[in-house]
Amino acid sequence: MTAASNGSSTVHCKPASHGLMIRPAMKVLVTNPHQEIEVPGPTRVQQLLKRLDLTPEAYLVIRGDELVTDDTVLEDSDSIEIRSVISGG
Amino acid sequence: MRCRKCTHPAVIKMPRHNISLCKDCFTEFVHTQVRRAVKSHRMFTTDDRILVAVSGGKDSLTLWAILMKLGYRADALYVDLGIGDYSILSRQKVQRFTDTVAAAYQANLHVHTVEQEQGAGIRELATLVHRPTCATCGTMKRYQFNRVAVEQDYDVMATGHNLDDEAARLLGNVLHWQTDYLDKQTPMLPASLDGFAKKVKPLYRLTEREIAAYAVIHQIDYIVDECPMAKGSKMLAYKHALNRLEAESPGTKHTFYLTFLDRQAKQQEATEKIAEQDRQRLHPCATCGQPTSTEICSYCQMMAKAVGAAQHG
Ligand code: SF4
Ligand SMILES: [Zn+2]
Ligand SMILES: [Zn+2]
Ligand SMILES: [Zn+2]
Repeated sequence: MTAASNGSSTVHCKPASHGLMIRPAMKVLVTNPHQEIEVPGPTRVQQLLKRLDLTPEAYLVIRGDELVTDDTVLEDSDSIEIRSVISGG
Repeated sequence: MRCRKCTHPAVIKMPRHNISLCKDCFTEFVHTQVRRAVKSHRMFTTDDRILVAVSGGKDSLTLWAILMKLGYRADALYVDLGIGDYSILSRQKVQRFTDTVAAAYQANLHVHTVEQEQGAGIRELATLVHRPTCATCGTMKRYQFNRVAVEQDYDVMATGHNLDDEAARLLGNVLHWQTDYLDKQTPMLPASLDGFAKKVKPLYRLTEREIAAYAVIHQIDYIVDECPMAKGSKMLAYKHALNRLEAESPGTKHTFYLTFLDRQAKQQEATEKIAEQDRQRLHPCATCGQPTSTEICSYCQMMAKAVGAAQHG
């Protein structure tokens, strides 16, 4: 439970830069279609999927090479993969 | 989040069962679902030789891994369709899995290369016979799978179809009231005649997400990218629709498909009925001897057309 998840926290898909100060952000790889984006942390898995408009049932969220549950708080230093699990056959 | 069964950290939450589980408890959950599927539909025993159709994707490699882990005698067949990078990469994944995992169980991999055996890749064959690639591919895979199973004396062939696949197919069949197909949509089709091997789908109780999670947890390195021909398929549309419903009310897919199976089972042994019908309808193909309801089977018709087109083209 971090202090960052209070009411008005907004996730921007592009980090806002204030003059020379560039915020670090976590790198997120989304598969199918392949896409690499940066999202500023901290954010919960659940929140991240919602912001990207992704159905939780169709994806797994992997940090490093570990699965994480939807209440996990992701940090700027994390490397995240959002893997599509739906196949077309 | 903690595991509901022990105190370890949870790795997956499954809203449809209203439960979160750790690695070990989730693994046990998956194995239990497979054991239940195998038992309740009398799919096979540890004496049977099983042939698993593998594509390099999550479902088929995970199925093969689980069957070996549960002590079954499972070999695999990979059909190389000759679809550019997709086929090259998926074949590598299958080969690596065979060398690193299956070899330890003394399990074998059979490979059928379409380009080599039929003279052209599946897309070229489809063009020659004026049929959609996926339909041509379906005929090819079914045929080769059955051929290898019968020729090499396997007792049963297993595919990695999961709950999402079956629910999506059921939705498609219901939307179009394809009642013939509905009868056949069971996780176990008995062998019919001498020429058709028994077919089973041991993963039908597990969602795609659960199977992918199992693969990640057990470091099964599968091809995440899809076959390029799958783009825009009807199945994908049905799956997305079902997942949206699932988000609203967890358990929708499970209830939809498993209730269908219950009703079907009650409607007296549907599978026996199919076997009986098949027995009446099928006879050996005049060209190759495999079972068919027409004089020459659809595979031989397709290949004859392809050869003809290639000679005149
Ligand atoms: S998407 Fe079509 S061509 Fe590709 S493997 Fe599936 S059925 Fe075959
Ligand atoms: Zn546990
Ligand atoms: Zn545990
Ligand atoms: Zn034939």
